[in-house]
Amino acid sequence: MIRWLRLSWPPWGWVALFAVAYGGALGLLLWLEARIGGPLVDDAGRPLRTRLTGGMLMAGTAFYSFWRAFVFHPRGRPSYAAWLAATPWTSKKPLPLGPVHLVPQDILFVGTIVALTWLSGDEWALFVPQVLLALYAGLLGITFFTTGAWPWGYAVAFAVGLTVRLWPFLPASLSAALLAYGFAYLGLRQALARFPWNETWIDEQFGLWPKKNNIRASGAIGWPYARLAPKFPGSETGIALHHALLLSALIGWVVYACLALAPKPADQDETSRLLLSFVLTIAPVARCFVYCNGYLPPISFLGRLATFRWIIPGYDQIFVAPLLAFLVGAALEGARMLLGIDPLYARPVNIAVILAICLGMGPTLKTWRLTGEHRIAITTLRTETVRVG
Amino acid sequence: MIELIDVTQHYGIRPVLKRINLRIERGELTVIVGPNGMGKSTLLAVMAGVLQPQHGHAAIDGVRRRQSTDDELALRRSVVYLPDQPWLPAMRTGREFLLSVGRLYDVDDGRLMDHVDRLLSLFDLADQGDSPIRSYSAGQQKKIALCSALATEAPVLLLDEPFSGGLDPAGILALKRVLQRKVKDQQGTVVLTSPVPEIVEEIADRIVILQHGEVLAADTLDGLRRLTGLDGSLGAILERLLHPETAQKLKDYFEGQSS
Repeated sequence: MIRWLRLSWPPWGWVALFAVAYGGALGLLLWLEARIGGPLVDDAGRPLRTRLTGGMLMAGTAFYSFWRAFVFHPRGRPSYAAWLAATPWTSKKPLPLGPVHLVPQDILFVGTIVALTWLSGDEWALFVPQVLLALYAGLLGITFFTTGAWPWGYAVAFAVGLTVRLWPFLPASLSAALLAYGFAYLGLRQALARFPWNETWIDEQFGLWPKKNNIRASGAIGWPYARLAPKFPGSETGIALHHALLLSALIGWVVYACLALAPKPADQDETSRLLLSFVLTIAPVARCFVYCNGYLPPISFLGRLATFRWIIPGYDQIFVAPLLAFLVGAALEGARMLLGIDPLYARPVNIAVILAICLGMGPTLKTWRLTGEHRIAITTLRTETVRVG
Repeated sequence: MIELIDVTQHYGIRPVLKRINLRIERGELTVIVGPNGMGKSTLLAVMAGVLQPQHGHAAIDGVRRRQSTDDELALRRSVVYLPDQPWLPAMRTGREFLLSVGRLYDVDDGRLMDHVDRLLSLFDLADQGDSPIRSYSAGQQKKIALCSALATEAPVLLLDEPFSGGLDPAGILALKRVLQRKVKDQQGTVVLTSPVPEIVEEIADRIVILQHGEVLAADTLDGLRRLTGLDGSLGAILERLLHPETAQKLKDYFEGQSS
């Protein structure tokens, strides 16, 4: 039995540590309740014991989701991936260190947590399975963007959003979580079939998981190579239009799903208004920063005025998308107010539109950096460089 | 071949370069000289694609800079620019830095490792090659920066003040010979700036004299001698062309007269 459980469970030391912490907290509260002769309650009148132990069990569930999604996944362990790539392993064989997909041992884990939560009198016991499934699928979905299975990454993310949206409806929410897991399983199969993985869109775009002893395509290589070499961040790819659109739609969907959980329409209105204001101001500014950082105007502001070159199309083109995003966002909100459309639906759409413009509208970063009418500068290169002379 | 066609650049109101037309042939070592603040570094930056001039353009082997993404990436593979004050990765060793730069330019790994060894040895950096760059002296940092440009094996080198910045006599000698070899034997193109007439005189195939953002003269040393009617050194020619008033000022100074 122990050997069977060890296939997917965390090390026994960790399980024992959690059990001791859980038992200790429960024992302490029971002892305190015995001393005062009644249950301890919080300000809202809910039993403190139930809240504390329920919270600990949910935290344990979240940890287990992380453990299952990453610890056995070659993408989460570069040395494991390197070793695996040197072996005759194929995706038709089991992973040597343990399975990434869910197995019967995981059902035993969920059952244990549900039983403990239920015994502590917490109705959240019924939500444990979808917490585990949604978190596990969501975390696994992130890896798909770096393992050649990005369509499944989006599918998982939309399904996780659906799980959140249907949260109050237990069977529907569980069904959505199972759907997310289904997508995650299919994505995992595709990702493992494509092992070993090359650098992918996310790697190139954001420089995640930098390789040790490799300072290519990074500001750390200093000036001028970080800006003028034939390879530099953003030189190989930009955010492709389909990624820009899908990512924007996904963020809009998740915002809607989370807003729908707010119990009162007034809360939905207030929260969505704050979110929209944030996106409307930050997204255009962030895009301007990414494009302008290290790529200065060819002539100073004073020079522009004095030489009557008030608009330099080759440089000022980068301000079109941020300006348009701001104007379209403001116009859509104005139209919503005029037409009286429910902010629960309209504002997430508006947020998605603003982001789609900021992420997807040209010029692409690559085109801008290689052909824009700018002056390349040393600004904000990484601090671990030293100036010669 | 590098061509500058009608290049005008001004950062603010004052023009730094005024309608510059220049052609630098393949297999030629060209040195740009001129007083401080006259646009030497800006001219080099235009060739390097660091900035897009307000008017005119730079072209390398017939391909205009910043014309298209593919062309620009191809140009970047063949042209290396080293500013007078580059920034180097402080925590990396010199060898790691050179290997990384070489790989950026797709130099074959085996050839690159051998070349890096030879460069470190040539510039007396073999002992420091595996130490972090932050521990180098100013002159050693200058040397490793120069080595990085050479490690790329790019056929066109644009070097801003490569002989200044603490380079020792051995380093100067090594650099002079390497650049001359690159031009003569490998048909490379080297454009550099230097304030030292003696070095320029020794290595330059062609000298471009820049003043007030304009090309005052662009010719071989003999051509400049014919132009000025002087038979002396480059220093004397520059004195005649660029600083005629300095000779008078010196005369006034030593004779104790006020101008």
